[in-house]
Amino acid sequence: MNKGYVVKRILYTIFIFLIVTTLNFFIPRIGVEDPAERYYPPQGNMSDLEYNIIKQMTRKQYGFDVSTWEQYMRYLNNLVHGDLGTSLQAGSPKVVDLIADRLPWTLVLSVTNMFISVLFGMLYGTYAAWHRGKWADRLLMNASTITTALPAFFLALLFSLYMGFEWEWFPAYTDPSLVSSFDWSAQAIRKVAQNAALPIIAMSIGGIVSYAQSTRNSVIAVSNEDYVVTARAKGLTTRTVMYKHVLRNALLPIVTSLGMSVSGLIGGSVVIEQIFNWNGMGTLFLTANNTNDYPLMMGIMLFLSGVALLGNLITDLCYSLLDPRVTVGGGRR
Amino acid sequence: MSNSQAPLLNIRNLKVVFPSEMGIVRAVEGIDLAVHPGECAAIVGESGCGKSVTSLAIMRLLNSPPALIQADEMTFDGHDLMHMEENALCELRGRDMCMIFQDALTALNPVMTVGRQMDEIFLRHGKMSKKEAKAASIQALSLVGVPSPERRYHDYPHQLSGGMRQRVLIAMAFAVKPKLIIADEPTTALDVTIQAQVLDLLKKLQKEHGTALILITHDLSVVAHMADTVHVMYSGKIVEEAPLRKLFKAPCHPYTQGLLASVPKLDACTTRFVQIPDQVPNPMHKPAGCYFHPRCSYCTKECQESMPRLIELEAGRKIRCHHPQKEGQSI
Repeated sequence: MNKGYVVKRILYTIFIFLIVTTLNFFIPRIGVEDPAERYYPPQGNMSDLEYNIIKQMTRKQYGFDVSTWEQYMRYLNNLVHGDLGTSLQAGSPKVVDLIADRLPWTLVLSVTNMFISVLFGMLYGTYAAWHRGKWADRLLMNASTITTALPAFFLALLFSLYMGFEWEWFPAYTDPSLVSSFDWSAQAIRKVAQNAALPIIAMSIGGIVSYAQSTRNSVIAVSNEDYVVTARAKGLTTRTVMYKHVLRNALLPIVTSLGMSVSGLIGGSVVIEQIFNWNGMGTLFLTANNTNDYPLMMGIMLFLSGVALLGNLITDLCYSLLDPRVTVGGGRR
Repeated sequence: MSNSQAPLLNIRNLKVVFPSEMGIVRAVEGIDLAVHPGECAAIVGESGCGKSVTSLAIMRLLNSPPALIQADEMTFDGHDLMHMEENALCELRGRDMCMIFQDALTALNPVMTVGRQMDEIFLRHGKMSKKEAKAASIQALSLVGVPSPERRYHDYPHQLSGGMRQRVLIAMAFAVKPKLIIADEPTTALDVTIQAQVLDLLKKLQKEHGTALILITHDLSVVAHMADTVHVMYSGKIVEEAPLRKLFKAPCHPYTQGLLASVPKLDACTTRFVQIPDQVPNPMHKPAGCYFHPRCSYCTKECQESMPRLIELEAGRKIRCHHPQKEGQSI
């Protein structure tokens, strides 16, 4: 891999992230009234003097007592020190701490889901392409029609209703004490697995089908390439041709879609988390939104953008490792 | 050419059919082909006449389904190609019979270095270690005139020029000294000067190794340069078969005459290209009678009604025509 290319990609990512932080700072400030008036509306029995003091104090607390430019500088300075601000929730917890608390719980769902989707999707897709037109392939075709029509949240509701409430296979609704009582004991881990089962199944069905579909199409397209005929004409066995010549080329586009879905790892399960009362980033974001908790929203947004950018960076770097044609500036050497 | 020897490749009545929802495509309709060791047989014809399908069918590289292949006989070096197991075919391919493809850019794997793709052949058929295979690949590359082969060994196909890539394909084909090489339009994707170099190389290697060569092309100048015998193919059938000199001197089939007449000549003061009117028939709707009759100036009622048989005019010279011509005269 070309060293210059890597440095260039990293610098580019940092540049985009700076733009994101700027937007993240200014967009919430467009059209938002004085936070003091928002969070501490004047009470009936309060004198103007009293109210002004409260206002000043609130503004100072949230850093609105200086000019916008200074606020921006202070914001950037905090960012560099890993401080995303203070939430407006009771007890004024740090945004970073809130995210850190919830992130593992979301990752339990989304990483497992991604792992299952990619692994089974690729295996099934390759199998279907290999046995084109046979039952496995036809099943995949029909399944993709169905999963496109039935989004994950609908499946989640069905699963919660039947597998959860009706047949009681798995907990239909996550026990709120799951998070607070978690202590890494075998029993606690088993309990998490039980609770995570339904959301993961609901999420991964669509994922498996879509990864299988794109793998299948990609493998079939590559199988018709001239170099695959060349490889066969060399007398290589069917297996060798498949592994060395077809799969490597066929999985290139899958890697791209994998990198793209990294951003969805954290923000992609808002609705599912809500349905199963799962204490993750999704519910945190909804709470922030519903309570107008601006610092928290900004923090989450920035975090999501950062993860998305990181995902793209990793994809690009992986791609240049896998495909020798991708080099500096996308040009040809 | 000693034709008393048993042919290396002997094909009788090869048929390839592609059934599709729109209709049946009869790509190859009963071809006979005999290639002797060290001989260069050319198959000439326009695009879509079934030349490439024939070559893939000989290598048994056509995917079946969709293709349906049938032959009364298809033997290569004592092996019955029609009834061989895939494993046995894999042993044969690349070792005894090889192929050179038209477009070297798409015929090489873009994400694998040229060297590793060459190694594969030596590792598969040469019983070599990786190190030996690498040395053999570099030697094969230098043999086909690739400059600084040690460096090129580590290059990817897109880093080579078109002519260089074609040389790599040729090196791959000759790697383990096969008995038969099928070259499918080996120079079509190259410009003329490179074309001549590559053809010379091909001819040199063929003579040195005594390899039999089936040359598939639409380019008569390539045929004149390389071939011993010529098979002219039209719409899935062989219409004329003759030794090179005889064919160029006195083509008997009106289609062959048309092909030869349409080659631009340097000495003639023609202002326009001579061309055969109309196009190759749609393989799904071939005309009744002789397939060439709608485009033929000698067409009679007989031609519209019945397909002529391939008749032997003289030894090694066959023609499929009701009105074979000889120097402009009906025989």
